[in-house]
Amino acid sequence: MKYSVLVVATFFLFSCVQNSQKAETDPIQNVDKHSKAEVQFDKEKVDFGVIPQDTLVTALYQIKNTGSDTLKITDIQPDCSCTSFYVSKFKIAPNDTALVQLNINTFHKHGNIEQYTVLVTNTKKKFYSLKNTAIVN
Amino acid sequence: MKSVVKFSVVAAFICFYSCKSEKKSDYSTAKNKSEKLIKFNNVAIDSIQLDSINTSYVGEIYIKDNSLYFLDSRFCFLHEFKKDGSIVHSYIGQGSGKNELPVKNVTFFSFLPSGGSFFMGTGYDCYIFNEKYERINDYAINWRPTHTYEELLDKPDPSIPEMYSLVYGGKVRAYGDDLIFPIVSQHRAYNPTMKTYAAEARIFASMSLKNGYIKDIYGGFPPFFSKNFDFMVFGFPIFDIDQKNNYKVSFGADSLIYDIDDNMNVKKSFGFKGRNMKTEFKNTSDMELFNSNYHEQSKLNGHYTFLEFFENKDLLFRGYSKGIGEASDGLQIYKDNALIADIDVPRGFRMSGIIDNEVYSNAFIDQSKNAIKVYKFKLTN
Repeated sequence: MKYSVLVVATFFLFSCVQNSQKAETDPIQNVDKHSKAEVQFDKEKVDFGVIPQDTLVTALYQIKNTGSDTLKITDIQPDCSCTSFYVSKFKIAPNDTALVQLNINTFHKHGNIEQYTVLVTNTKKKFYSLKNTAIVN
Repeated sequence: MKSVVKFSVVAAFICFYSCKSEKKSDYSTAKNKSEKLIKFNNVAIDSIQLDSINTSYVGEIYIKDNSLYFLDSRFCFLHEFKKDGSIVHSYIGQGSGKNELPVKNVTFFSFLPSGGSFFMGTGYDCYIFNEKYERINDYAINWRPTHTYEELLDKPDPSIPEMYSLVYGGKVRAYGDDLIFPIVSQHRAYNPTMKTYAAEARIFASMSLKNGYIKDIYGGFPPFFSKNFDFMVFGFPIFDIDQKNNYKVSFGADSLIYDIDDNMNVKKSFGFKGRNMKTEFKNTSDMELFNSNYHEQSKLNGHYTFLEFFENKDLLFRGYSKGIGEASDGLQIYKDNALIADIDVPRGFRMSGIIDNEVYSNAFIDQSKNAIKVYKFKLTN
């Protein structure tokens, strides 16, 4: 009798754990509802205008943690080998800020360029995209 | 012992020849059956706005079972929308979890006849998901390499798969257990900047969806390109496949559409040049300049951009750009061999499919307004 009560209790315990894990992600947007880190960018796009070929230009983005938990940048993914990056810190305390610097090399580039760099974080939305555009002459 | 040696020689011989593709297109027997039976000259184009989503704003629209799907190629989400643009569900997403996609950029995607989906990353890495969006298979494309780069420099061979790579920006098509896609050789010793390329190169590859093995490379360019070297800058095929594995093939810079069977016999050709297309193409003889020349030429000149065939309606859609100074792109609609409409569509228009007799476009993205728009128009009878 004791044994069967234990089995039933265990079953309910695990089914509750499974349900709470499912509830952590919104099926519509795939966001993590329980994350308390939040991010605010000063901008999400830099347009360099007309720039020469074979040169290096830099875009600076400021990130602020507007949440109540530590903001973690877990990955930075430029879509071009011509883009390198520097991040002032990967863990940002609440109300603190960090800088993301994207360096774009226009070697062998020509015409309109559109480059996207994805930031992966521990926020609800998880992914953010920073866009750099230019016309290379 | 002698018989063993004999067997080995025969086996090696068979293996060597089975690696080479002999399935080339023969265009010489194709009869031109072009007809013009214009039924309408314009359509009322409407648009729908997709619900706001968390997106990189880099992606494309696909259609399955009367739903629109926006594949976010950077965040790797597949967002499902109703045909009015309202969000239904978001699937997959980038990550290393069991049912996530471990890629930073999706370069090719296709729904599969099984109901599942095919994704490719940037390094020929392929991922298969079932209809419940569970990841069920991963592999890399096996181009069957047997030569070093240097060996191929000395003796390039257009009949072996390892000479080729995918045509990026093109469409892949799933047929049965295979994935079919256009290919191009970008090898220093053999590429489209060479005058012999159009006569010898293969244009398609079939890959096993089970393991990524390149089963065959096949098809070829019509003689038009051997005679018009400058047109090779837009020589890449656009194509669709019907239920019997017959191909409808067109090329960026050739006004004809070719009806080709699964053995690459060209049965017929048809088609007309799009309206107001500028076609003063200039190819380059330097492979290093091929891509920049392509972009330059695509601003100045028009070319055919996509082809979609709907067997149940016997309708073929072919889109084209017109070149510098033109405010719109064009869309031709063929029924059987006959051109029944050649209409103006917004610049950049591609077709994602048909739902309830309405044609839906690709995604038109305005990141400054956080907006993704899809054009649509009704097919008239």
